[in-house]
Amino acid sequence: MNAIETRGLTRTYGRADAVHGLTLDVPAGSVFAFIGPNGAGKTTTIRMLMNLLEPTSGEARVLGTDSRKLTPRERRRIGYVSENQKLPEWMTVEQLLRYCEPLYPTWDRQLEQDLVRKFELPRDRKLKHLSRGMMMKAALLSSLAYRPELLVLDEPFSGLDPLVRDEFIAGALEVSRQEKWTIFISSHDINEVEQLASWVGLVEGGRLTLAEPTEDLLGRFRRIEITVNGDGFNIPAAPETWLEVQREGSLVRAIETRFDAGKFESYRRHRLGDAAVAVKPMTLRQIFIALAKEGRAQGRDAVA
Amino acid sequence: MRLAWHIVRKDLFRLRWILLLWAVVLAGGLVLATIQSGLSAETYYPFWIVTNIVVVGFQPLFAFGLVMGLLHDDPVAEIDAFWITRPISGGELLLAKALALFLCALVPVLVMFPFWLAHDCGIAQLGAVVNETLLGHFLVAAAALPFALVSANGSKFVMNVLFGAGGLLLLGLALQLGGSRVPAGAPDLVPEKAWLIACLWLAVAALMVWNQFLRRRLRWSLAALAVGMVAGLLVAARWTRPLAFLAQPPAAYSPSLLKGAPTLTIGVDGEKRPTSLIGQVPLRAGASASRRGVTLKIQSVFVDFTGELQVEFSEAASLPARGLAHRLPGAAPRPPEPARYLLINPADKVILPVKTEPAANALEVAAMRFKHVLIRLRPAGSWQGTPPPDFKAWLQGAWLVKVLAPEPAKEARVSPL
Repeated sequence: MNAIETRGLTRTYGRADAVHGLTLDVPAGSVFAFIGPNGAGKTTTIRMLMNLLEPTSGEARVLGTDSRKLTPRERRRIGYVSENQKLPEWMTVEQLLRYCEPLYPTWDRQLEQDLVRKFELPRDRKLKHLSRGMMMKAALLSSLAYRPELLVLDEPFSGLDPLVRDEFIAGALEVSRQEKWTIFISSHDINEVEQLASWVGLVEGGRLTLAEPTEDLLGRFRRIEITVNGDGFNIPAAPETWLEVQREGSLVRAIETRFDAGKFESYRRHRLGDAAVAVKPMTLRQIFIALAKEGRAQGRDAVA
Repeated sequence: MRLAWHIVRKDLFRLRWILLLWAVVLAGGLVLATIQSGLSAETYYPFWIVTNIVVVGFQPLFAFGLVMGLLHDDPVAEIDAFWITRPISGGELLLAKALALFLCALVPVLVMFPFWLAHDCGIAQLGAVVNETLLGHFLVAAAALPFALVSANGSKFVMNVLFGAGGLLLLGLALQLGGSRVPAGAPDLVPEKAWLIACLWLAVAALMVWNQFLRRRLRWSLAALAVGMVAGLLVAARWTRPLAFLAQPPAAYSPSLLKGAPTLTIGVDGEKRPTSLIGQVPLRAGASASRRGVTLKIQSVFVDFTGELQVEFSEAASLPARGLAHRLPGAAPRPPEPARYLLINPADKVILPVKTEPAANALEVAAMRFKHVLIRLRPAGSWQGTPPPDFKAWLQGAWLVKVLAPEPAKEARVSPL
C-alpha cells in the first residue's frame, strides 16, 4: 500500500519542464526524503500532490485519491507544512489552534498540549511576532495535532538554525514513530533528513534519478580504496558499477554503486591480486554528492 | 454550514476594529448631517463639505477595504494560501465569505437605523432606505470584488485597482478619440449605460467568483476581467438605445408617508380639494418636526425693513426607492415628488402658498436627502384679501406645512378657504 503514487507526473511552465514524467511510490508508514538541489522540481511536485497546482500531464494519487480530486475528507487525513505557506499571521498561536481544531474531527487536545510544551510555543504570541523557526513549529503543530496519516513537509528546515531543526525533526519523528504515519519530506540538504529518512528519492532537473529504501541505498554504496603495486590496475577496466574512479600514484579510489560482499571478494581475488583494498560505508550525503556529480557529468556528455 | 460560520466568526473577529471604525465614521457622518441641517445657509458649508467627505469619500474606501480584508485572509489567488491545504472546500469558503460580506453590510444599516427612526420613517420607508443602503454597499463591493479575486494580498489589490483604473482611462480616451456614436443632442442615456455596465460587471464578478473559488484558474479570471472592462467601456461609449423598463415615472412618496397622513382641505382654482399633509412645523427659528421620514427644521424667520418675509429651513426626506441610476453624475434627474409649501395659521385658517428656492446644495446621507430651502414672501402680493395689520404677530402663530400637490402638472392657484 502506497501513501503517494505518481505516474508520469509532469508540469511545464512555457517550454520548460519543472517536473518531467515523475513516477514515484511512497510506501505507507515510511519517512520518505525527497532530495534534490534548488530548482530540481521538489516544490512543484509537492504542490501537484497537494492540488495547489494542476499537472500538465500524468497523475498523482494521494492516500488513494487522485490529487486533483482531493476533498476536505482526504485533507483531514493529510498534514502539510511548507516554507512557502502563507499562515494567518495576525492570529496568536492559540487562535490558530482554535481555528484549526473544528476543521478536524480527530483533533487531539492532549497531543496539542504535549506538542506546545515540547516546542515551547507561546500560545498568546501572534504568529507574525514569532521567529521563523517558531512559526514553522506552530505550522507543524497545527498539522500534527489531528494525527494525519500523511504528513507532507516542503523544505521545512529552510532557514532554521540547527537547534530548532533538530527539535523540529525530533518532534515530527517522535509522533510519526508512535503513530506509523507516512512522512514525505523535501529538502535540498541531505544532512537535514539523513537521520530520519527510511526511504530516499533523488530528483534532479525535474527527473527522479533514484528512489529506494535508505538501508538498501546505504548497503549498495561503498567507497573503495585500492593500493596497487606498479601498473597492476587499469582504470578503463574498472567495473561499470563504479563511479568516480580516480588514481593518484598507487592509490585508486572509486565508489561502488552495487556493492555485494561476495561478488566483490571474488572480484578482488581474481582482478586485484595482492593489492591492499579498503571498503568503507558511505553516508547519504556522500552518495547524494556522488550521484549529483555523475548526473552532471552525464549531462555534459549528452550536451557534448 | 457550521464550518462556514466558523470561518465567518474568524473573519469578523479579524475585521472587528475596521468594522468598529466604520461604524464610528458612519455615526460621525450622521451627526454632522444633523448638525448642518440645523445651521443657516451661511454657516452650514464647512459641515456640508466634511459630511460629504466622510459619507461619500470614506464609504467606498471602507467597502473596498472590507472586501479586500475578507478575501485576502483566505486568498483564492494565492497558490500557497493556508485554507487550500486544510479541509475547507471552495464552496464552503465562498458561502462563508458571502455571509461575512452580508453581515458587514448590516453595519451601516444598524448604525443608521436609529437615525431613520428619529426621522419617524415608516415600515415601507425603512424597507426602501435599507434596500437603498444595502444596494449601494453591494454595488461598491461588487466593483471591488473582481480586483480582490485576482489579488493575492492587499498591495497587489491596490496595484490591480490602479492598473484597472488606468487601463479604463486609456481605453476610454482611445474610444473618445475614435468618436462617440451617440448623436449630438441625444440624451446621454446614463441610467441605461449604468444599468448595463452594472449587469455586465456583476456577471463578470459572478463568473470570476465561481472560477476562483471552485476552480482556482487565475488566468481565466484575468481574461474575464479584461473582457468585462473592455465590454463596459464599449457600452459606455457606444450604447445608443434607451431601455423602456428604465423609464420611471416621477418619484412618488412612500406609502408609509401618505398612509394615515392628516388631510388638509385647500382651495385650488376656487374648488375645495383635500390633500395629504406631508410635514408641518411651527414657524419659529429652531423649531423642528419629523413625520414619516420627513423632517422640517426652521433655521430663521425674518421680516426685513421692506416687509419681505424670509424663512430659511432645511428638509430631510428619505430617498424614493429605485432611484440609484438617476442619481449618477450626468443622469437626467428624476422629477421631484409633487409637493407644495404653505404657511398656515390655524387661528384664522389663512393659507399662504409660498414659493421656495434652494439655498444650498443638497446632501445625501443614509439614503436621505438633506436640502436647505429659502422662502421669500411679500404678504401684500400673496395675500388673498387684506393682510392682517400685524403680520409679525400672525407669523408667530403660523406653521410651515408641506402638502402633496393636488395637481402637479398644473400651476394651480392655492387660495384660503
